[in-house]
Amino acid sequence: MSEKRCGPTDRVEVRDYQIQVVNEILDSFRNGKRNVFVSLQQGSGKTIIALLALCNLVNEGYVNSVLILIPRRILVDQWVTKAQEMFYGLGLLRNPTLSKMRIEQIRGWLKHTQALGIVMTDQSYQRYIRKDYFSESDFDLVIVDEAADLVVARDFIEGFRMSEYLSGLEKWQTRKIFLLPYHVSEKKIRAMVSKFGKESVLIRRIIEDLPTFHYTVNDPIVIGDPIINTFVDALDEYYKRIKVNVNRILTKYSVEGYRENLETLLNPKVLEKLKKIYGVDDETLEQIKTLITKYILIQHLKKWFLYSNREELSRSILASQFEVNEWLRTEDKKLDKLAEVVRDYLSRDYKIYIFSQYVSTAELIENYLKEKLNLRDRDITLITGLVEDQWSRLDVFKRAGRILVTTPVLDKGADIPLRKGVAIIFTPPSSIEKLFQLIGRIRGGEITFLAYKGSEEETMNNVAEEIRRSLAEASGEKYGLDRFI
Amino acid sequence: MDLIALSDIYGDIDALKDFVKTLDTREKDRRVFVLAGDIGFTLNQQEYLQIFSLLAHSSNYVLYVPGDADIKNLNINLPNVINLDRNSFSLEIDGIRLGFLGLGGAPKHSVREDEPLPNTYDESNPIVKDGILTSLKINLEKIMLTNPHYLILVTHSPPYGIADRSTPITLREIVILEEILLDADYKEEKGKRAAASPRRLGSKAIKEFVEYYKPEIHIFGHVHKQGGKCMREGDTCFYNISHFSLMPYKLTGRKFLTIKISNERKFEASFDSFVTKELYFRDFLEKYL
Repeated sequence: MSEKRCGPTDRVEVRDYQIQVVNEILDSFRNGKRNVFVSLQQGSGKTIIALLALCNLVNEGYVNSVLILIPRRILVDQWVTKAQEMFYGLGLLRNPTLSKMRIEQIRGWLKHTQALGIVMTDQSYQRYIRKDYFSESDFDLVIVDEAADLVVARDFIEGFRMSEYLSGLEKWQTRKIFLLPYHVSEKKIRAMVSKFGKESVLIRRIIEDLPTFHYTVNDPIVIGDPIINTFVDALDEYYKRIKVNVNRILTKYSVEGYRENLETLLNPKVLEKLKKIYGVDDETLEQIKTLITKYILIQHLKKWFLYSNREELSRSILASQFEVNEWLRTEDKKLDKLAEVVRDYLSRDYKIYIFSQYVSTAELIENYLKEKLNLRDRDITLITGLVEDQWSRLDVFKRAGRILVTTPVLDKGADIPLRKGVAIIFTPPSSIEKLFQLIGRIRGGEITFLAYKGSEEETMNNVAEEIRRSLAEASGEKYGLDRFI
Repeated sequence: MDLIALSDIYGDIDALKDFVKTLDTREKDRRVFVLAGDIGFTLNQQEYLQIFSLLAHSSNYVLYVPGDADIKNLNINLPNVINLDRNSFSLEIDGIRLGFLGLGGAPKHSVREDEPLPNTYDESNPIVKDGILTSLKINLEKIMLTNPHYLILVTHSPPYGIADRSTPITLREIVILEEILLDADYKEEKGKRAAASPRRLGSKAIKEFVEYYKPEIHIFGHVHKQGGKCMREGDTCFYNISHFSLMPYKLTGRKFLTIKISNERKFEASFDSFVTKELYFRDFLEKYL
């Protein structure tokens, strides 16, 4: 064994392009850059690249203490375990919890065990920094994995801003490596880099010899429920009316912009601007606020109806309205169809990944399928942000489970290869970017959407078409879906 | 006998008047109102008197606990209005004996640090927590002397871990909206941000009490986003009944719980909203959103 403090074990097969990227990172640091953004496809081994760079810096004596930031709690254990399997000498403290350990204990642990650093979630980082428990002087290097949400879109007017969780990091003089998937838009990456100033560099490319994943995007499965259409049409009509009213007010005061994203009009700064620049009076501003609040609420309700959020609906005043009340007493047709589709896939020995944007819908799906299909506990796994043992549950699903029901909690970093599998999108995520992210989790297989006949059917057809188009484009370029993930 | 439970009225006297009008006056003597706190809004004594008089005239009893937004001693001198805060009360209607005990206010950790609310307690202080538990136990002992068929706990705060999670609404639009508003707050005062993350807001002292002494019914409010939830754990049925007022959310307001107690062993509980149910969906949206 060499005298190096850390390095890759025999388990890691380091590829040429990885060595090349590592050298670029190290060169950037040598040339005085402090922030290196690495944007490569999923499966290209971004984490290995970051760890190789880390080991190099440690062995050369530039780094004694590293801070590694991971977006979700569920990923911390997975990340450290994998890292320690692949690299020797990586003594890392996993997400120390302030409620369980005092900061003095954490610092003592770091000092006396000769640990190389800490791996924690972005949220924990925020808490530590707010309490002044750690500062930039404690670390020689920061690695931010899955950094796509380092900046979040605030609105169309102000563009991107630093995520609440990681704000402050841009001011640290410590060297940093940011890892993000290739599919993140240029615009967003530019916003990230600009937050970190001139001492930043972006390494972004497509690696050509990576294995491709094959996906089949099925036509959406259409469900008929005329009552749902009545509700959705009424909500749509109301929604349009509000939009027209707001636009009328904006036109009256010759206000330009804002029309593409009316929610922006709730921003106190925007309201202030309307008052000062366009002379909108207080009463009209109040009227705008009321209209936009309703406008948001209507979109909200529409999704509750479309995505079986019966739990929330039954606790709202709508549950007392006679038609909704009647509908709530009937069996949910979308859930019923889902059970039918799941039964069919199970009979063909598929592993099934069901995605819902909402926790309450995911819980409902788990209960419904368990009862309807008479499933054993082991067969179906629910993972949401509200369950404590997310990692153990994921492990159960990977080894022995048949159905995974989950929310955006798994949209980043977690590998869920299904071999023979299907992703059923019960509730689509909020953007195409997120949809690609979640499809990328399963590493190939079928993709199926469920949609009510009518406007949702149209939307889902468009989404399916968009994915197909992207896939076709990708296969033409021989990069598989990785071109976009 | 009907128990009608309301919470978080926030002084909405007009809604309350309309609601009371819908009740059958012939059933007045068989009706008990239970108010689980946050009754007024302005701390104006006249406003409280109006609310209690209205309810007292439409029922046999009005039993209440003050919420974090109410002052501790509301000083209501009406014969059939009973303050259950750290107190107990028993009543008998149609041969069914009910034993009530209560706790008003809310734990400090459940409200924003910067909000000057008159009725909160710091249960992280062991002396305060012990005081709460002792008071509940003494009142329990007193009430058990009347040998009630049902033991009913009324608190403003939920017990920790039950219908007490303050969750942000998951839809992207709402998140954006909340982020914008919270961000504006945050810049003004950092403390406010702390109350924005999803977390359990319930009281650990209350949880400890219900875990061991197991009332049949526990009624509470306070955590608006969990309003309308009913859960059963062991022999205890838990009801988060917030919120009656149209504020803070029109969509989940106007809520009340009716518990129909038919005999010594059987009761039925159902949530309802005070709205015109017969309106068509479009008209309903128009009127209530």
